[in-house]
Amino acid sequence: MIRRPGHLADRTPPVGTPVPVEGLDLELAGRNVAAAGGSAERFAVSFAAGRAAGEGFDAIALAGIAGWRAGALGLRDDALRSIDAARSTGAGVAAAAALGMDAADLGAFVDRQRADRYWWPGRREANGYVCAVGGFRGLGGAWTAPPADGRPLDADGAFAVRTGERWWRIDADVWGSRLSPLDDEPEPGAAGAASVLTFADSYLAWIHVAAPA
Amino acid sequence: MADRWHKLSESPTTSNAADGVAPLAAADLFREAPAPAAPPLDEKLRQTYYWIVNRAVISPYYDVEFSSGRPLTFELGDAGAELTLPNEPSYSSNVLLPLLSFAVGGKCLLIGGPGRGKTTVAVLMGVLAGSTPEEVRRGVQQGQPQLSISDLVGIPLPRDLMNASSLAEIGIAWREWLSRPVKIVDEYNRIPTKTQSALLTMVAEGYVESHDQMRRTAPASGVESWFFTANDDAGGGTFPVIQALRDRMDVTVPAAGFNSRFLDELVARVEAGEKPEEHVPAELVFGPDEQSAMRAAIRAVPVPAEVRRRLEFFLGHFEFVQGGGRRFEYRTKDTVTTAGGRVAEVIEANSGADLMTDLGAQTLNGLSVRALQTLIVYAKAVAWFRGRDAVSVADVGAMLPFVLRGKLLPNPTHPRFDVGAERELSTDVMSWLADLFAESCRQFDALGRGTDDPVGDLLAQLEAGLDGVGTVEAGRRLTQIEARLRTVAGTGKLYGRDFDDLMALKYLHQRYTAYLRWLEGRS
Repeated sequence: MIRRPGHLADRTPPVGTPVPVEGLDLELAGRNVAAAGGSAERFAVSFAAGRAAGEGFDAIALAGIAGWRAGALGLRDDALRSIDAARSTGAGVAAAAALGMDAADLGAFVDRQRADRYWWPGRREANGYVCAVGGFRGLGGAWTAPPADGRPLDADGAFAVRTGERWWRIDADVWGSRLSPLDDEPEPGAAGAASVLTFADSYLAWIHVAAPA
Repeated sequence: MADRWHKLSESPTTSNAADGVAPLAAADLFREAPAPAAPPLDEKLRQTYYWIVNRAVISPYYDVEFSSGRPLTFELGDAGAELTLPNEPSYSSNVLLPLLSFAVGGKCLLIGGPGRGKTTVAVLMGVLAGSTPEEVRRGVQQGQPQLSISDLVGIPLPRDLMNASSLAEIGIAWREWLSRPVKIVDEYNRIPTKTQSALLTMVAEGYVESHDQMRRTAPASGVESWFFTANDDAGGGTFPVIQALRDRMDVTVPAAGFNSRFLDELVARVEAGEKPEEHVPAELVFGPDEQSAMRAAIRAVPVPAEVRRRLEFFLGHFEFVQGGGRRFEYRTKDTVTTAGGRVAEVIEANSGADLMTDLGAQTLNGLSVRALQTLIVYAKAVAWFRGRDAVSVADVGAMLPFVLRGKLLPNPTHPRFDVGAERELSTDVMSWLADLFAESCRQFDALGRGTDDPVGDLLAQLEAGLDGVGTVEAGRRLTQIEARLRTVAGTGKLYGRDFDDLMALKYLHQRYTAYLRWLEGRS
């Protein structure tokens, strides 16, 4: 079986019917989510789920949460602020629906995310595995050689691996990941709860948390 | 419906990589983002390759193999068949070589039976260069026995023919395909000899002439690539291909057969009435500036000294033939051939040599400078395509069979092609050429030529200049050269691989002798 990059939190495909919102170009937002490394399809469905759960919540803030859920890593901080605002105004249901979780789990999720960006309610069942990144370029992935020499970097959620002679930076959290080529070998940072795993016979690098609870 | 053709391999290149992911706000999602930066050209070419093999041409053949260390192999059947599983990305030659020809502005000959996708691959290259599928198809020159020079290049304007008082006044209605960046000539071995000669001028010199008028064939980018197809390259066809035109083919690529396991995809295409060249994603089209930049980047890839040395050693095997002439310099295959002799007979008459060790005995000719230049260009191209900073021995080895096919000719009377399991090499020229290079590398290692290169040291010494070299030092160097010659003479055997070294030693001896004479005259 060919394994492909992806997040274990995304095991279930997005379902739902995107609905238009007057004054908002959701197609443009979807393209921007895709350009930021996310999935336009998941964004549309997450946004629709949030709207269906609570139309009163600010649609732009909801789009930010849905974009983060769809894998746009750059929206992480903005989305966490929007979730706090939603909870304080009683619109937590919409935010939770956009994230695809029960409203009852939202508080714990936000609290855990502050300290552990890889946590989501299903992580224990996934034995701590968060996501697989990279993949063989010939099959639509990013790399032409298997990754090796994985190491953490100083920045939160950042790792580095070497594929052949090239070094790559991996940024990841529970919903999304980005790869960027580096000019030089980076200095290793301090090890944290999460680590990057590489295998001699795979073009994928795994982000794994040793204590999955 | 999703466009099943429009799926590119991920290209995760971003700027400011060391800073990580730039933060975004929700409102940013509703602003038009600036156009994403174009991927580097080598990455774009790799994306193009993978798009072609995954979407356009059904080609599950990975015969251009790269491995670090020993790859996994399986012996299959009882006749020596072996399947190799390379452990680094490997490629389909019938897509990779045309693509590299497109990148370097080369001439690619695609050979194989009818219906194997040769013309489709060539047409795809035309679309990648920015022409529409319709334009490319219209520009394909179909080789046929009645093809005249006028059919190929255009006709003089009838009005001018009537009124002109000199050739200079005759305007020519040039054919439009002449200045396309990708030129395709189908079944070139069905073109009459005279028309082939006109084609040769275009291919070799980059211009076309008619009624004293001349037209350059290079497009705006300055990069033009040629694709020829033929059902074989062994002399078949309606007309024999003139040798000079055959020699201009930079690479010869056999087309692969259809793999029956991929019939479903074929059925889907038949049902949809789709042609791959009509679905080339716009992101994969190379503009004129990109084509020139790509060729410049390929040419700039360095060939390290250790790779050059190994290549020198390989090239040295083939020119020499013992008994080909009397004077030492004339003991070459060219001496035999130009005198109308048979190289194979001269090789066979040399009873004192070990024909299995002397790689030169396996060929009927030496290598031309043009072939060497082509090999260097394609080795650079594949190294660049693989994202390497410099050419490696593996890059040279991968390109060598495609470049030397039809140029380094096998000696059919060599015992290797006569007996046992090796007999299959008499029809599988590509494997024979690959093996020839591999065997040369084994000899190179066994003889320690990578670490112990006295002739190279002597050449480097001269290259450093003669300023300050006195008569004593020059005399010492002459003694060194003579000692080296004595060492080779002392072995009692002479192989092709020594020929160039011996010629170089004579050259050095001449230079130092002349220098010594000059020093003595001055004093």
